[in-house]
Amino acid sequence: MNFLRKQLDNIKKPFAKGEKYERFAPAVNAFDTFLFVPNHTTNKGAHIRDAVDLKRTMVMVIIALLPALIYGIYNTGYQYFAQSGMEFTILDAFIHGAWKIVPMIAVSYIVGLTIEFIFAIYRGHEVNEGYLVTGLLIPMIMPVDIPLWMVAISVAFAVLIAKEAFGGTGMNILNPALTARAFAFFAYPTYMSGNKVWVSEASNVDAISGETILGSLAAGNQVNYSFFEMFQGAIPGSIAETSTLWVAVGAIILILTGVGSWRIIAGGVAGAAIMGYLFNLWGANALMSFDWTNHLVVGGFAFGIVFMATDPVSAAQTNKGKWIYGILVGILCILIRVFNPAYPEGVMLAILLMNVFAPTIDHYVIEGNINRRKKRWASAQLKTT
Amino acid sequence: MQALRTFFEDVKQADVVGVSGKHPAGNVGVQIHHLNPINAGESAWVVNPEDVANIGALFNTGVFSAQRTVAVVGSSVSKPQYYKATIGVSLSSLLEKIDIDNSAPNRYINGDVLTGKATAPDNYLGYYNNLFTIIPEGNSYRMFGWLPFVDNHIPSASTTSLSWLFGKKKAKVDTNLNGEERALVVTGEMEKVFPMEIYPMQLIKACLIEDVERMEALGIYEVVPEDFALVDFANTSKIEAQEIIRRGIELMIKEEG
Repeated sequence: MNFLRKQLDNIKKPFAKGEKYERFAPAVNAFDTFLFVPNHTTNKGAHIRDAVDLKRTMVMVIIALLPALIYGIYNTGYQYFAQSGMEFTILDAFIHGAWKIVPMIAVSYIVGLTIEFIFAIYRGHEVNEGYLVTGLLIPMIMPVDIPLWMVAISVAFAVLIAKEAFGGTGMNILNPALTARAFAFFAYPTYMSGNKVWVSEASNVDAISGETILGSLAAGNQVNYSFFEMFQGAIPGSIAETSTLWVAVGAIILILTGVGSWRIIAGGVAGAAIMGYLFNLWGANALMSFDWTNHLVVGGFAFGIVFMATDPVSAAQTNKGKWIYGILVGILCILIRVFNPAYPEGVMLAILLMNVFAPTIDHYVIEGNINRRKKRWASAQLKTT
Repeated sequence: MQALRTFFEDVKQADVVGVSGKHPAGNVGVQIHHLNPINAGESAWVVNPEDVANIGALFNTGVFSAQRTVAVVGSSVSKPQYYKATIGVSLSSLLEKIDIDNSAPNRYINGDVLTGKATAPDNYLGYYNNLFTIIPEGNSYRMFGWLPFVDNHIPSASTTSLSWLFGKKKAKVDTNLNGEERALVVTGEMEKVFPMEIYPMQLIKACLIEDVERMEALGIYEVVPEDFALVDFANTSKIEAQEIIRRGIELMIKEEG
């Protein structure tokens, strides 16, 4: 460890303050700080600090994402082999899935981190760790057969327009990963929706039908999957969204470590359940009669509410606001699913819309606090005069 | 405790209020906020019990007693204990009686680890301080120390560390930042260590952009920097909350007089 440390200190010399490559210091520091927690000590404020930092928080989210990602890799292979009627082992399924998905993750990280590094050097601040999560999320919510160059362009759009244009990490209004998906969704609709994209090779092999459950419902067809199949996740869909079971494992990790807001998750599930139940009572068509419990386990709802809606930067920031925000995401998601068959999956648009309204929700929550204070001042003044 | 209670029952012309709980329940800022919050233009005065005794002694005997009971504590002190000292005593005379672990560089703090001021061993005890702390400096590297659930000996308010499980025995603290300053990303963590009806992160942001009107509306009159000491400690982005609030209050004084 000491040897490695010395080598690193040598490499960093030309990047120190006043040296030749000072401008590029953020790039080198990003690698250094990945290997070692730096030797910086406190010089103002509290003398001791918590063990937690942004890197640890972001890595916690990645750990929470892994169960859904691993299942997603398996399911990609499973859907392909099962639908084309071939004999296969679990290992075959994993290999087929990894062959498709690992390159997507690599492209996402390379493109996204390159842009992040350029902006960090240009703005003269350290590289923030937020993209570690965003970069993994983006491929996880894409259809498996989307061409890599589309992934690259979506990533570039999301990082440049949704994040850096607003001032970088911590300043963005919209969730960058969902912005990437929304960009791809509207820019390349033939690759992002319909009944030929949700299963590996579905567009090339006629025997494979790549329709999602919500897609076939919107088209007025019957659903042939049981609640348990949908919950467990052996269904067509975006790469890692299908398994509510493994998403729930991630949710438990996020809630126990305090990294994800339980208020948003609980609010979202409650909102979707209530809305789904109300539509069940109404029951005017097949979509409305789709059981409310099924709404919770089908499509991207679980994945969206656990990993996207809880993004602390784009969500509401006050505790009261988080409840309101979560409930509205849930309600809007089911509303879009039922009333707009052109967008069978409502959760992406529901979260993006609520991202826009989150500051407004916070504004009214905080305004309540401010008004109580002003009232107190007014009554104190009455007493003294 | 019982003796204290009967003592206070004899105190006349005063409302006695008992306060109990974890830090920061003892902070005067938190107590004032919950008893009688400060409004614009008001002021509140505070005095420590030991100073009340000193003032009383001055009136009874005509002699000012400049005595302080000082606790010397910290990870580098092998036997923490109380000492009798004079206000503003030179530290060298206080520290010569104490067994200090000098195997690594130490930080000497007038006050506690959260709100104290760093000082040097050839300096003097602060006027208000009845606590002196010595802890090791943390200027060393930790390989992959950012991984969750490692280095659990470091105290943490977050459950991304298992320190709550293993840290029950004496925590060994040092002055390492345990990270680097980053953008404000995580929300809701400041509120957990800030027991007032004030939005801490929003107030910090108002101070950062020097929006005096907003600072006033969000309750800058009701806080002092030490109320943000735990925010300093616990926040993920390593924001210097006490420093930001101190500058905010200074700005308020300059603008409003």
